[in-house]
Amino acid sequence: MSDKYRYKPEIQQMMFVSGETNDPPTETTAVIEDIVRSQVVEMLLQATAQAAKRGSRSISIEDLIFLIRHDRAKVNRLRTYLSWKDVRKNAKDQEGGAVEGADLLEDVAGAAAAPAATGPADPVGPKMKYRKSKVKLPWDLTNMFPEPVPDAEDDDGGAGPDEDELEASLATLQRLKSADERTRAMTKEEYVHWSECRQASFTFRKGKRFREWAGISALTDSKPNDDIIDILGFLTFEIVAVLTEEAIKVKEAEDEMEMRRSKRTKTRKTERFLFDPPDEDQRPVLAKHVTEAFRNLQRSKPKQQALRNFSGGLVRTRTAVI
Amino acid sequence: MLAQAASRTSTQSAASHAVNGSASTRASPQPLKKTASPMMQSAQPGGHAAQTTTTTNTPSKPQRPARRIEVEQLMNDFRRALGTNWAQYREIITSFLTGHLTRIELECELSVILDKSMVRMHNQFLLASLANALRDPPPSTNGLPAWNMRSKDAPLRIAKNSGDPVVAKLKSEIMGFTPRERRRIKAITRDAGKKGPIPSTIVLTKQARSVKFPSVKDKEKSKTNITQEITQSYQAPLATESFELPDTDNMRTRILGIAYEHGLLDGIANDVPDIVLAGLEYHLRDFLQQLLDRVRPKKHKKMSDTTFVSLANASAQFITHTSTKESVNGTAENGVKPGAAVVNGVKAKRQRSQQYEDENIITAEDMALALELAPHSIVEPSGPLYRLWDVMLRDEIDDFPAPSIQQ
Repeated sequence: MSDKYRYKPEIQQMMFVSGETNDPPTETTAVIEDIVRSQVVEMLLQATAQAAKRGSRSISIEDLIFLIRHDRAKVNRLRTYLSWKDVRKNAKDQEGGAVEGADLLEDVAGAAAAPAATGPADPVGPKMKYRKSKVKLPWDLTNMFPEPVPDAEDDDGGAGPDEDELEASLATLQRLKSADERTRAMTKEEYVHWSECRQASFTFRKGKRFREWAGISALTDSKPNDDIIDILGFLTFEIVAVLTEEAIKVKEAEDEMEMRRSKRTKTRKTERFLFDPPDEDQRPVLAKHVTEAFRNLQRSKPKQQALRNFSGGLVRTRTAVI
Repeated sequence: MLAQAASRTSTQSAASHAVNGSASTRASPQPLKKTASPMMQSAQPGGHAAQTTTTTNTPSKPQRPARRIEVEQLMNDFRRALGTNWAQYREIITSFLTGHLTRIELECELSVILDKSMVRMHNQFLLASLANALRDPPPSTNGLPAWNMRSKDAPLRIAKNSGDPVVAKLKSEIMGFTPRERRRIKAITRDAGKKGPIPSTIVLTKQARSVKFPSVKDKEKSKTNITQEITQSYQAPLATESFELPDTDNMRTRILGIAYEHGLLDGIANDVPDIVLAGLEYHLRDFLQQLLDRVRPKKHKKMSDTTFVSLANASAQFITHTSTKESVNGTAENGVKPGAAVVNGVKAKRQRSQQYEDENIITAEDMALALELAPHSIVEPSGPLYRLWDVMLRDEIDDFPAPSIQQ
């Protein structure tokens, strides 16, 4: 088995972005890499099974999204990510070269503000046809009817976002807010560093290395296409982020317990001296926090347990995709 | 005359058999045989259809199986002697044989019917029947009486003259066995010596608990080392003895012993005990989490002013904010003192419940309750679980609920 851990810098960057300020030790990144790899394997296996149920041999995008369908926030974020990719690809094709990121943003923002009915009156010209193609989810309610349901994209006609959507966007907003607070006090260099770390990905421009690391050839018959690899890159980033957040929560809970215990035994902390080493740095997230976080995430929901009440029998559990 | 007697008997093999007085006396070790031959003269049909006659003059050999005794004649004489008591005699014997009468009762009854001479006949009759029962049954007729049989219905017989001296010798040797032996030899099949899966739990348990030492084929792996490892693994302390989770060394010793016992002679890798320990910790934490989820009081987000005390405690009380308020208001009118006391009491109660929450200790009863609700939390209910449930104290009122009084 390959003990060489290849993604340590990427994982460190991702952890930095998700809230971990100290340098994580090698053990922690090793555990996270192992967890991510097992999750990728699990996702591919389940997606292959899903594709087989459909009667197809190759994994499609919908198969992967189906695995995370319960987490609407993530699904929405993924769809946004994919649509951005689409836009970038279309723009590249149409411009025929490197595109200015700023112009693109303006065009897209301008097009999003005014609905498609007003027509593309943007300065780039009729060449730039803004198309934000959303991935269709076959299990969504709108796709259950034999006739195509019109998209509720316009604000005045549609019913507005429902409760679930609100809750989903809440999670995303929460994350953005915490990132905002963190970067508020940064200097320019720090912010540059931050944005570089933000772009860390397992698969961006390293598709081949990723395929080899995950052992994809051993898992599926057909070679997954680049879209799948991109989605996997996105999902792995999400996994590391979620793991880090949970691990930080676990660590804080443990620290609080320690403090309460020390308080009860009446050992008061002595006065803080000037040259005391800082407390925070001595406590990076350890491997045991990460494993505990992983275990918490694998907890089965009460609704899955409800029907098993009062009965015995062997419970077959499945590794949950985070 | 002898041929007549033979033909009148009801067996189909009568043709090849003939009564020979000498043979009959020789064949049977019983003394009553000598009565058989003179009785043959007055053989009568009827009675038992399955009696054979004794066979022809064959040279006597000690291994020859005994022939069946001619009981029919005995019975008929006896019957004549008993006269009208025969039916009653038959009833008595039948009930004795099926167990309705004891021996003492039998003797009692028979002493009424039989007199001295008939006792002897009775003995002979019963002994003859018994002796016949231990010998080969008469050749079966497939349910048809002799006069109804066709030649093809007759049971097959082995050819007497086979010509081959070896076969003849073999045959004579085999016929020398008793019928029981021959039946046993015929019953030997391919799987005769092998014992099937023994369903006995005792035997299986013993096999499972015994220490198995592997057989080493290779000369490289020293056998003594392996057996030493196995014995060492049995000496390592268990977690129930040391009251703590095992550490890596303890695990390694035990895992190595188990691997050797089951035939994995190459040993184990270095991080195997670590993985097993990690899995064990995961499982225990999972179980504890489920236990705490079911038993610990939870603060509901919506009903923030209620506090539930732990389920298993019989004195579980619903402490609500509103009720305390009411009690405060109610007693405030009576005066300051009792009101203050109530307020203090309420405050103390709330403090105590808070402290209770902080130091909430899970008892064995909580565990028994949680496991009763969900025995699959530890995969499979096993011995210690049953013991836990058995050890719990129960209120009598749960076991014997009082019948409700209908009005």
